[in-house]
Amino acid sequence: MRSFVDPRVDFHVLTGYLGSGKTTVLRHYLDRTPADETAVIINEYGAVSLDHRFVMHAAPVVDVVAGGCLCCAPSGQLKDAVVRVLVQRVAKRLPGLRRIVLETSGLANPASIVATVLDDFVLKDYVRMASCVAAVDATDAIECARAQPDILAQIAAADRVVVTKLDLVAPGRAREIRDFVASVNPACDIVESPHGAAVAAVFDPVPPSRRGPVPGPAASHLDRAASHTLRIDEDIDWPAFSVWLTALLNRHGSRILRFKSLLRMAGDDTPTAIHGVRHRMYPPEHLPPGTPAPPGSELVFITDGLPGAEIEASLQRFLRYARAKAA
Amino acid sequence: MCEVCAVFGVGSHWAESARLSNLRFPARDIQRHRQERRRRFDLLRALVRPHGLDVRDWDGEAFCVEDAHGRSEVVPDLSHFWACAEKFSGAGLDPLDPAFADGAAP
Repeated sequence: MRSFVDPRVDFHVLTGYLGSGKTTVLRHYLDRTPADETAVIINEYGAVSLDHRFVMHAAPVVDVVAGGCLCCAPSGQLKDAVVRVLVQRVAKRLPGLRRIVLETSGLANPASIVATVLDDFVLKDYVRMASCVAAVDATDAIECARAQPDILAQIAAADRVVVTKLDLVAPGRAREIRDFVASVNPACDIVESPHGAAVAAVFDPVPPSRRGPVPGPAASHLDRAASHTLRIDEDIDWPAFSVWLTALLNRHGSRILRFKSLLRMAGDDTPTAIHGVRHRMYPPEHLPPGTPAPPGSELVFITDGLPGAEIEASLQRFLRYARAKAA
Repeated sequence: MCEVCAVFGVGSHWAESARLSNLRFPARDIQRHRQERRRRFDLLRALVRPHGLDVRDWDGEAFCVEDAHGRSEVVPDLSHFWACAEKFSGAGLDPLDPAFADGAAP
């Protein structure tokens, strides 16, 4: 069998609240990786951009989209910026290009940016939505999250969270921040930065089955984001599951900050990873042959006020119904 | 449908995207995708019938939603299907509602 090499460029979204250290993480990353591998697009909320001055010497292409937040401006500016990078690649001016990193404005909701990349008929053939990385400020993220639910949405949407400014906090705080992040998003990878090798790997692939969800403390201090993990022992009936999930997202997508799952499907040898942010789902990823089959399927929902128990009951009800119908 | 390899039921929507497990002998995958698509339609039809709607597979490619007044609309995928079914029926089709599949005979 021919092996398939994906010719697309990896696209990474770097989020994090205002002042959470996104630019610092990016700068450290660019310092530690070959210079021609990464193109950077920076979105600044203000009309005048400063951030790019800090990274512009480190990357071959730094493009700035200023004067508004990309996630709310349906103006195609993000697409234009990505296309500008791709044009240079096609012209063979960027032979080493491996990835594009978009540093979002601190106010951005990653969901709509992910949707722009996944839905665009041109972009989706040239860039692969690779990961969403959130910078979380160890000094004040927990306190800020109470007032700024955007932080929770950013953590919830992340595949990987980079905890920043740990050198400024008391030793016990690192544990507290980890627990906080895990309680919002039990399925994400957590790394500490900006010191050491972790930063050079910050845009490395995030394995979908990296680890089981952490049964973190119930997110009692958070009213706006709660995670719920479901386990299903029997094989997933994909037609029934897709009907159910599309119906759920149609009604409640705006309250599902993140959905992540590893499904064991009827008729498949290897598990399939399926995940999404709000209404938008990523294309399913079939894990490579040889991946050990999990004992069952695992699904994580991070919701904004939607009770996890209701989702679970609803899915079980519907799978039962579909089984009865098929019998 | 991909017109080169004639794999029916494989679309760009996430619910229907699929990988061929064997590039040289795709017949098994094609059959499986078509069966899955048919099962999806069976489930949808049963769910919306109590609301006075019907849904047909439109050429292995799209969803054709119809109501008793003779209105019909062709939508590209499952996500659009739910919005259209709610528009035609005037009902909220909510899977969290315990009665979601109640009217649909198994």
